[in-house]
Amino acid sequence: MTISALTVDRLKKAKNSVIGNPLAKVQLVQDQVFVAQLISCLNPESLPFSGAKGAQESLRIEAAHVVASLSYGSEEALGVLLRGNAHHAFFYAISRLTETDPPALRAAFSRALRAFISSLADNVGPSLWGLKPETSSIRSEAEEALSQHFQHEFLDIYLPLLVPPTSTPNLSVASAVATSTAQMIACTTRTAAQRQAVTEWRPATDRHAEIKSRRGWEKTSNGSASVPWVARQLLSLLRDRERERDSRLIESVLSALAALSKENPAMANSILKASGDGPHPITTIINFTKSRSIDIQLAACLCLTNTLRATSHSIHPSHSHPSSHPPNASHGASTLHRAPSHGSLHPTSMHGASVEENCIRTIINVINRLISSSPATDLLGASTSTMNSPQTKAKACFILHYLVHDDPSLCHAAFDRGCLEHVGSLIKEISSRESSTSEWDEDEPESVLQLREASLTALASLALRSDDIRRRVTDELRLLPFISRALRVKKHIGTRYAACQCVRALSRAVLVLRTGIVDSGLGMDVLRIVLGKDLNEKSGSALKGRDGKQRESNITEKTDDAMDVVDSTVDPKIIPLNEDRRVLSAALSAVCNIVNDFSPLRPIYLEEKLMPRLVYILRQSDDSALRLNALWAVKNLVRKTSTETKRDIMNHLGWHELLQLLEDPVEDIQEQGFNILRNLAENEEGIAMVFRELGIQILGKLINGMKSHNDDVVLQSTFALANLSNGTPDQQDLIVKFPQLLPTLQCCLSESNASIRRPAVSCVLTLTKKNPRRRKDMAEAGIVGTLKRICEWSGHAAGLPHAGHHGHGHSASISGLASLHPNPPSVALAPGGWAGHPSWGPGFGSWGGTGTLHHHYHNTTVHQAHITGHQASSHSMVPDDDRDVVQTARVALDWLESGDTYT
Amino acid sequence: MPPPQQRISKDAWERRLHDVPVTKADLNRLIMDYLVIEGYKSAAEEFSQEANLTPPVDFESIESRMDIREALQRGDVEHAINRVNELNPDLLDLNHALHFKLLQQKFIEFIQQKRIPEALQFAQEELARRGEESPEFLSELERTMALLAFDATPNPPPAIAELLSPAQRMKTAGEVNAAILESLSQGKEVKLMGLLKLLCWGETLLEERAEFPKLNVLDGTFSESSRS
Repeated sequence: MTISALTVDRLKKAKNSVIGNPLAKVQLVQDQVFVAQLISCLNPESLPFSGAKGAQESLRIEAAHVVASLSYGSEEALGVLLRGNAHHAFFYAISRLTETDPPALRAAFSRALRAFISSLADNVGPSLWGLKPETSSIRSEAEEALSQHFQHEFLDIYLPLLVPPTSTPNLSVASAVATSTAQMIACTTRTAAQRQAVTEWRPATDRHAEIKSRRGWEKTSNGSASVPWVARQLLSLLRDRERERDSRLIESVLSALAALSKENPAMANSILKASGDGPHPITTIINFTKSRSIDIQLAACLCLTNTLRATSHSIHPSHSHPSSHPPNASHGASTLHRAPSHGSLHPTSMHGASVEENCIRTIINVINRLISSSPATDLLGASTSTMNSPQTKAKACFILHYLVHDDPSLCHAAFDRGCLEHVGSLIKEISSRESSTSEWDEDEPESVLQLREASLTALASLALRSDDIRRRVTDELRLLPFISRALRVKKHIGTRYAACQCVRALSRAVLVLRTGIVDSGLGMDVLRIVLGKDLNEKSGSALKGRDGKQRESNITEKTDDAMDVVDSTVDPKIIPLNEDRRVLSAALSAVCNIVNDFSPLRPIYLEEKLMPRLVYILRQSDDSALRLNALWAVKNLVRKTSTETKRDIMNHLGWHELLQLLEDPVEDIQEQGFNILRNLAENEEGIAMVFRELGIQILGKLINGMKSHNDDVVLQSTFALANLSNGTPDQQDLIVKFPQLLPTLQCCLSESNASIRRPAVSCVLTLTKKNPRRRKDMAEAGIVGTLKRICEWSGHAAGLPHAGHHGHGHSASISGLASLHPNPPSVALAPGGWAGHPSWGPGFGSWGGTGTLHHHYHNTTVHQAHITGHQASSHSMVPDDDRDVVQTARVALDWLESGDTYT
Repeated sequence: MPPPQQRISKDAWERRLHDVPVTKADLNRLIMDYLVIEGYKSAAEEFSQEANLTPPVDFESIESRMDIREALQRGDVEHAINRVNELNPDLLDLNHALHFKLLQQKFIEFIQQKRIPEALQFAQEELARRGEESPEFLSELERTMALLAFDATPNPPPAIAELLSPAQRMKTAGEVNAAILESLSQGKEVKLMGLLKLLCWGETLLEERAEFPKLNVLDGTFSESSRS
């Protein structure tokens, strides 16, 4: 068979057979000769005759159509094309296209490249809407090809296609290439690195011009250079009045802007601060939210959402500021005014706040309308069917999630405007429509499954930061049974994931945790997911509904030591980790909340063998997000629990393993390890246990931790040391005499932020008070001098504080709740008896390590970040909070300087 | 008691109508919209030259669209599918529901022509697979397959029989036409039609408050209200 065997007719036939037919695609790519010929048809050089140009062009166009269709819908066919280097053939062909080539040819090639590269991006992920299975068999190949797509030489080929040719008479033909290119940007740009590559790209001529004209000491101050080329080009397409009726173009340009501005302040700011003739881009985009086309409305909302979140994010990263939103204060922030700590959109612009408010109001209005739309609301005939489609509603829910996630004030803004009610009734509506069997996903269309995932995701995001909203979800909307049903969905992982996120968000409210989570059986459901058991199986050990509550009361009488210690490595009944890792991780983060000391399910979880499972995950999984969540749960389990339980838990985990975790390559894991140590040493028996099991080598590990360049690791290791220093005089001597320990402590005092200095100063005070002879050691390590400087810096001569008084609101009454709220570290301050009493013996208290706030979704493959109360406070300490450190430092200094007189 | 009605004379009404600014360009675009959507290719072509209007779509696409509609109306689904793929190769790959509709129509045509063995083979090879891939098509698939069972019955149930009616062809043709128009960034319905509906709706609302000359849609004249 020769190359000329491929004719236009044969290609047309192939095209008609494969379009819409996945099986035909797979069958066609079995013919390797055909595929090779097909790909070679894309470039004229490889075609045998160059006579009839028109015939050659038709052949190339048909070949591009066939390749494009093959790349949709069949992973196998895509893999074959990839191995046949179809993407390089496309890039080469497009790089050789000129304005004299017929528009049909240019349109076909840009469209086919878009189809091909978008399919690659779908394979590689992260998914754009919701969670997709990670089962692609061609992922690594696809990933490699996709990464090339973002290299300079490739961007040079396709980004200039955004500029439509000026000479074509027909607008729609002229826009086709720009539309495909914008669609491609919208669909393929999904990670931070990809966004950066596209944002920073400039045409080769600009780059060369700059190299020529630039002298080393000069800064480029070219005004236009500060606005990314791609932003300028996309915005000019958006403002072009001639093209505003081309809804495909507008939708793809808005989607491209949205994709590029997500978590990308450079891009988002260039949209916000764009200048020039005509209306401001934000005004234009807001106008598009009123378009007749629903797709344009959605794209405009997504664009506004991403722009808004990226800019406020860059000024005040909201996820590192949870402590600036104490739960009570945020309840009041129920208007559209953002909490002051968030700053306004434009710190420099007077109109910033109103632009921001306007955007938020617009987005929420559109979302509410789309989510709640029912037939017959649309008088003027704008496609009612699109408006009601599950796809539209699902996207609206996801946009709501993107808008409010991790931002309490936005959650409340949405809540006040009725989003929660709309989402709630949507969840009920799509659930009641089907029969009452638990087999939800058996014969439901994919679009409805995705809508359920989307609505639950939005629900979880709304509820994540507010007790008010959580109460509304459980008490008034009564959505728990729907979440429970969603956890039982078999095939659709996205639904299970979203339902786990809901449980996690709801279990942050103490009241809900103690009632709804237990009564509805959701608490046991997430445990069973973690244990790898089937939720639909009604086995004897499943504790559900009211039974669960009854058994729980029996067990609490038996106390914690009911758990039996079995070495998990030899347990034959262990179930492998079959659940999707993201679902498992979400379930684990719910479990982390549910194992807090005030949770009625904590003892039941331990009885149901949670610990062996956590240890199994820690040892067997190579997914750092999973290991982190497992360790997080262990940390919460050892907090405020009996010494017997601590011993049991540590027998499962292994003391030696804990030491290894303190040196884990992943710093988040180290942090959790030190936090476990801190919680173990929260009382005298615990301290004795730590020294007995680990010996003084633990002090060496603490020094390493305190020298870490990661503030969170330093903080937890300093807390652990502060707690250990509450031990007996002998144990204290071990600490003081340990080589390099005091100098390291001095370093923490002098070089760290207030939240780290707090436990450090307390540690010095505790050690000094018991034995004033340690003064000499302290002075030699430079601690006395450092304390003096801390006191001098404070600037105001506050009177010597009374020993035994600590006036900064870390009362023991909040310590129990603190692990559910993004407060500064809760301080279990207690004199000798450790009873959590508000009065406080001078310098004598233990620091309860908390941190339950799993609040990052990780739809992406990127490792998730965990935000804890203490972690947050380490970044956002306001100067006021320094005062207690200074006061403690004064007391410590006083002891060090005149300790003799006190003895 | 109903509120007193305001009476508006024909002159006053026409004067008010003239005060509403409607540009020639807007009117031209409305006409163009009508010609394009209704598929009058050569009229659209000439009108765009006369009115000096940038055509909103490629004129060839109008012809293709009409060709597809006619093919479906005469029962030539194969030809329609091929022309759709030519016009927009993405459409049937991305719009599974539309693709299913066309395959269903093709099956119906086999039944119409009493080509039962071919119908069976087609159902097994194509239709059944679409049902497997997308469970939402299953119920419609069942209804369609029932045609085989009621083939020889003189009075099949109406839900089944309607599949064989010309209306089913029109319905499929309409849906394909709408999808193509949407993919070309065109409205699915003629804007003039929407405006006319709006006009009637507005008149009905106004009738409760005022007496005014109503537009006679058929000949474009105003009729004085004859209410006393």
